[in-house]
Amino acid sequence: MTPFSLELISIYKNYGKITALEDINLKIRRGELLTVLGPSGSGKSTLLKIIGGFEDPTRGEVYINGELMNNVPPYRRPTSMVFQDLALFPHLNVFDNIAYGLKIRKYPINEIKKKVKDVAELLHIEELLDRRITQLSGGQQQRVALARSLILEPEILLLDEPLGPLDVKLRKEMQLELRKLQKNLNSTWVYVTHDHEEAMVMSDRVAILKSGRIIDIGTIKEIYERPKNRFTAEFLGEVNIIECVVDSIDGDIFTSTCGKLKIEGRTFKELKKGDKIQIMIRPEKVKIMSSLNTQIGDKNVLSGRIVEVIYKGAYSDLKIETEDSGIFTARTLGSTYSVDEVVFLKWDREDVIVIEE
Amino acid sequence: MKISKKKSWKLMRNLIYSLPAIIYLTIFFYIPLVTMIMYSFWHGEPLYRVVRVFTLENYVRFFTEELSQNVFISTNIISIVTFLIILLVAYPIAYFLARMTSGDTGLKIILLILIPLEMNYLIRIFAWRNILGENGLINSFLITLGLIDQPITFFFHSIYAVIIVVLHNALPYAVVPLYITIRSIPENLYLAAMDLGSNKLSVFFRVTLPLSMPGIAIAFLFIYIPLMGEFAIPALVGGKTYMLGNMIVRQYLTVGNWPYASAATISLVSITLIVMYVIFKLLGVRRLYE
Repeated sequence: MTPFSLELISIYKNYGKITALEDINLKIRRGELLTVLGPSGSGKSTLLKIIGGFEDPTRGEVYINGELMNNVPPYRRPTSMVFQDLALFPHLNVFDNIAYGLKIRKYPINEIKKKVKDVAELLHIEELLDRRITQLSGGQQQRVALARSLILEPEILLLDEPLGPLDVKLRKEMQLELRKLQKNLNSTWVYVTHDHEEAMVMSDRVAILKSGRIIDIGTIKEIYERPKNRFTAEFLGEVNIIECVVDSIDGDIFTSTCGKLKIEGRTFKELKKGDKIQIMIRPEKVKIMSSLNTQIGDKNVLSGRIVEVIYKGAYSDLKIETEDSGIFTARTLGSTYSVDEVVFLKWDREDVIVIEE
Repeated sequence: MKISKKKSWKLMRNLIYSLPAIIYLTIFFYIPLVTMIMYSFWHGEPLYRVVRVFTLENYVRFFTEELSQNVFISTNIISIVTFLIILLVAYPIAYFLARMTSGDTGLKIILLILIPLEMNYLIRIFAWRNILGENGLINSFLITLGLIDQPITFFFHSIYAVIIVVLHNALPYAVVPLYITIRSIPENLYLAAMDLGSNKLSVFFRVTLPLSMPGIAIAFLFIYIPLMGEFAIPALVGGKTYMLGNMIVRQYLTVGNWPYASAATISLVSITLIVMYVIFKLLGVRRLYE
């Protein structure tokens, strides 16, 4: 038996002349939670629909459990989907919604009752089984939709931004609960979202989708700290991107000039003198100081005037106007800085990341 | 004080706005209805003789007399059978328009379906006489082809002609509510049902049909209620077909027993109201919109 629940091999999807998905290759191990993260219109939902069997790929192969699934209709696939709008049946009560799949499969009624009870307990909705769908809150409906899919013990559970309509607090609770549930069940989930914080909380791995292509994939730590490209870097949070020219290389340490600024960093790929590169520095890696004992012009040091202080509760983001590197963002836990103050910025060479365009 | 003043002004304003409707309904609906109710409790005799004493005899007669009982039953049978036939024709049309056409194509076709309604009701019925009649289109066609020697009278002046004409008349009233209801079922419900293991047939019976029930209920009322009072179609193409509407018209115009005719009318209105209530309860129409 293959260790992969899902294998997508060079999937293309065209709608007329519009390309929705391009050369998607993806392998998901059994028990893994993969988040597909991307802006709206990037093809996330199309990808889910192809896995679920609602859309046929224009080209490429879908393997579930090692079996070719192209042309297998949704009702014969071992997948189940939690829809963005949940798609609960309004004419059935909670019990009948959850039992739907088992009834189709002609389970004996006693077994259905037992299984519904079990899954309802798992999701803490055992009190709601007699209710109508319209009598439930958004969070409760979410749980019913989840129960309706989980009761079938699908090989792959597909979730299409299921937490979208919930308020922030409830969403954060559900994220943790879902993650725990997935780990306990040890089932394979493909989770689509446009919210990078959600992706960070939930995923084993994240695939970044942009205009129908997977442009980066890895654990959240990998792609947050070493994004392959500017899009990923910017999508996952605030960044400073600086364009530089390589001056010299010494082993895996390089120095580069970026206007008046000199940046020293470690690189994991081949660079040579004169290469134009983009360097990323996360705001939280920047140290802010009121005075400096090293010289301006030293490596990884910058000075500037604060033009904006954005208070975010637990931290503040400072927008700092530098002489020739544009606006630089730095993050501080205190809130002792004010506009027009001149500050010095410094960072370690370990925090300098070279990204590909 | 201030609040109550505001409230009474609001009440005044609402009253003024609804005054035209109230006047219109009073003159043309409530007064005739009350008059009919009054008549129904008076003693009546043929040739418009009315004795103004309170009596329940008209109601007793309507519900116990064999003729009215039979007419009532046959009218119901005709109405329900006709409705079922219309449903069989209208549902596939509505389903196709709602699910298989994109954009407003369905709506445009609905407009085409509505065009015959622009024509006068009686003229439409007379048109059918010319199609179904002894010297009508169908018979002349079959005789010209040499398939028959004598005109077929089987489907004219019969209950079949009534059903054909009603089907033609009532089809739009079934297609429109069904179209709207089927159209309003979210696409994702079909996908979810398929995802959970339903094939297309099972999706239809477990999702589409139950969720079409409000449309079916409304189509039923649109067809059943007018048919309970229908008299023109049976009179013009029905031959011996005799429906409640014909009976009431006869009592009003030919026999001239207004109290009995009124009692029959009021009974009919009450029965249709009860049927409406039961249908809405039974098919869970209200539940869907909770």
